[in-house]
Amino acid sequence: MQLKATEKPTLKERVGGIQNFGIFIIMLVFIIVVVALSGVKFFTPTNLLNLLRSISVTGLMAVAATLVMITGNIDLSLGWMIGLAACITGVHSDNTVVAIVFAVLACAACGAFNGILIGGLKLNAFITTLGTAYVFKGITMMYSDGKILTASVQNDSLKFIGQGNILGVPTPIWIFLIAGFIFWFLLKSTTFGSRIYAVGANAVSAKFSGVSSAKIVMATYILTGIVTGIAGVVFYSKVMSVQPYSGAGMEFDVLTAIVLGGTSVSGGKGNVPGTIIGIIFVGILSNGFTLIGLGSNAQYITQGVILILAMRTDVMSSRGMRG
Amino acid sequence: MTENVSGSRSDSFFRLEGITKTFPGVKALSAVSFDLRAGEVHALCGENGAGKSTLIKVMTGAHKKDSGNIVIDNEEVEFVNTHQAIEMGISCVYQELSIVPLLDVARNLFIGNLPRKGGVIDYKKLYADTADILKKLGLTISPHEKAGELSVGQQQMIEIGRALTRKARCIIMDEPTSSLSERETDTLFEIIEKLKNQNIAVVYISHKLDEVMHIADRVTVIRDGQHIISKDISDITEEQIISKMIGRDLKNMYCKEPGEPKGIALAVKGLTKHGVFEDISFEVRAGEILGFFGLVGAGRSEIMRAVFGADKYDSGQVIINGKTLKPGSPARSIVSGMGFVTEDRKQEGLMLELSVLANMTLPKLKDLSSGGVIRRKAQREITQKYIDSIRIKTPTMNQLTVNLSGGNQQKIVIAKWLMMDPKVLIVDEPTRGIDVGSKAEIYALINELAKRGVAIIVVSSEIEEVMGLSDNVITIFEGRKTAKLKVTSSLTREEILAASIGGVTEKCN
Repeated sequence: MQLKATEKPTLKERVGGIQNFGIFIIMLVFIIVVVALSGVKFFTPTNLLNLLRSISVTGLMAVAATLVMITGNIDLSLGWMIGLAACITGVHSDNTVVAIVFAVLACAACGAFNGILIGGLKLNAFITTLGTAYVFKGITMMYSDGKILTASVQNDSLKFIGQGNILGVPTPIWIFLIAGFIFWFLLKSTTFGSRIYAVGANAVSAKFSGVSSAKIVMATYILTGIVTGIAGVVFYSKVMSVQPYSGAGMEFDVLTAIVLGGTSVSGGKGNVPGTIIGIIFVGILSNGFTLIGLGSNAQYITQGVILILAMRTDVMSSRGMRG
Repeated sequence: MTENVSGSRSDSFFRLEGITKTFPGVKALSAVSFDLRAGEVHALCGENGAGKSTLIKVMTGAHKKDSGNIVIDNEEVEFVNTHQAIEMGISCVYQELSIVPLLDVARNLFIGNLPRKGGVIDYKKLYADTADILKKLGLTISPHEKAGELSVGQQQMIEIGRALTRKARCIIMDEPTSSLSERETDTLFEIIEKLKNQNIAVVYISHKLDEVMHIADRVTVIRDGQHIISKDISDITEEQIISKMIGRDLKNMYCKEPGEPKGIALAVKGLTKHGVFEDISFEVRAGEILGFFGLVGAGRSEIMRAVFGADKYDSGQVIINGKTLKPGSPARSIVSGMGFVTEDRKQEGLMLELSVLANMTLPKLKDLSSGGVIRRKAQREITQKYIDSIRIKTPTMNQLTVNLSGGNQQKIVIAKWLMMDPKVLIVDEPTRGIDVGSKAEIYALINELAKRGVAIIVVSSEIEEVMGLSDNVITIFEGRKTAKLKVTSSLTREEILAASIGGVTEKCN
């Protein structure tokens, strides 16, 4: 009756992946519909690269924010945080290094602010980050004076970040994939990653095993801030111009991707490959809607419904485990 | 009843025949049979993980059997869901009660089943029926009282009453006395007698074999998913049941060997948290087992949490191997060589939805990694080593701990600290909700650790456990230390009890 405990872990256990197949099927059906309605345009290399390029910024944030979600928390302030980072980049667009350092530091500070409130003071993450989103919005608007910031001087190195190519693949995609790899490794193979899961699964038990949830939660928010800073630089340099409020709403794509990827909203479960699949799905959704000529309004409705569906399966699967 | 199928006893109205149930990786039940006569108390005994819960879930329709028959009144039935089983008269009172605290007794009794007249609740009938049920149970509580204000025992009676409102013919009770006081247990037994008189059968599941011997008419033992024996209680002894449950004879549960105490491993001086505990001082030597006994709520667990650094305290010192610990940091206590097997393994000991591997190696991660990167192979090897050495029953080390039995879960919590090679190990209620076989194994482990020179503090509300394991016992009453007693053959239960309820003993120091 007892099986051998030493058996090798399966590929899924080693790498991770989406935990709910319902979403996967919806995704496939959607792709088929898109392909059927748009001809083969969907599968052209140009379109696929476009798709990946379009999700690289939100994807970047999503792989980092997956950590926050696994601890059982959430970050709704990411949209305004990336707006701030992009504006800082815009103001310092003449000096790439200064732009990156300032953007990253500012967002790391924003992340630390979230982290202290939620990890340290144990405030509710949903409401807290809703509040800090407004704080960051105010700062961004003050900082940018509400104006569109466009690069005044030619800066090729900054432009390369958003518009360059390495081996025929756009730089933002490289940055996204590298970040994806780093965060996958962080979660899967480091002590920090294991502690993130522990805190998310049961913070009290983790405490009795010597893991401080305050420190872990703070660290995940700060890391997410740092990555959002980088994402802001990429976001700005894609068009070398930014409207201060153009980050607003991005947190929704990030959240959808993470939840679709099988990360449990209550924490303790989830992984980076799942989030990557999730963000690709979000990309396909917006790309597909454009290809078949439906506007973004229909896309909002669809994405909202899909997020709710994903939540429902999350709730059902965690209930099933206890039953 | 004259019709009789395949030679089974004609007087049983409910039969499970050759039930088999397999989960991925585990055969939980293999051809188990069980039958129930009207008006009998049938005890179901087995170690944790033997398959009792699975069998109950098959009986109540919560799990679908793979093969075998469920027979009610000589007619084969198929349960698709729990609702259907309830309709057929099979009700279950689970360990975790499902009382709605803000609703009154009557509404709780008839929850989901409120009597209606013309689309609105028929309050007159509701309260009349409630009074009727309460009378049947011999309870004197008011139908209007809020269920949340009742004692745990009374709430459990409400659950039993709920089964009656559904015209139950069989009530399954899963560890019904685990959270009851002695007096409440007596009341429960009276109610069970009343149920018997009304021809209702009771399936009684308990680790407490003295209760089984007292209340049951018949007993069925299962082990490793197999039916071992069914006997009338008059034809079997408690020892025989135990040996059937664990598959071997159990000699000395505690296997206590007097060790030689060495240097002081842990010293606690004047530890105080106002309103919770005052001026607690004690020492534990390497190789010594120090028992902590006191009634529930005396502050034992709170003291231990403070010693471990999980809770802050107002004054006092905790000194481990000559080094004073800073309060409020379990991480530092662990580094200094302390381990803590917490009282509540589900809330404080385990991350239920993580794997055996993740749970066992969490405090050890630092040693199992280089530069923050976990050495997978080392992690798997050490996990396997402890799964083997303390015989944790799990299909793989990647199994989620929520799927394991209580005894195995507790072993995982203990293994977590064994790995750390602690100097001081605090074990709080180490055998709560655990079957006899696992109990004996856990006692053996604790003794083994003491022999290796670990200083051990055992907190327990079971006086036999404290006496059987400890070299010395400290009694706690209302947050104060009332005595330190040396465990010798002349020390009696009464002495410990007296000290734990505030009586002064001359041995007090």
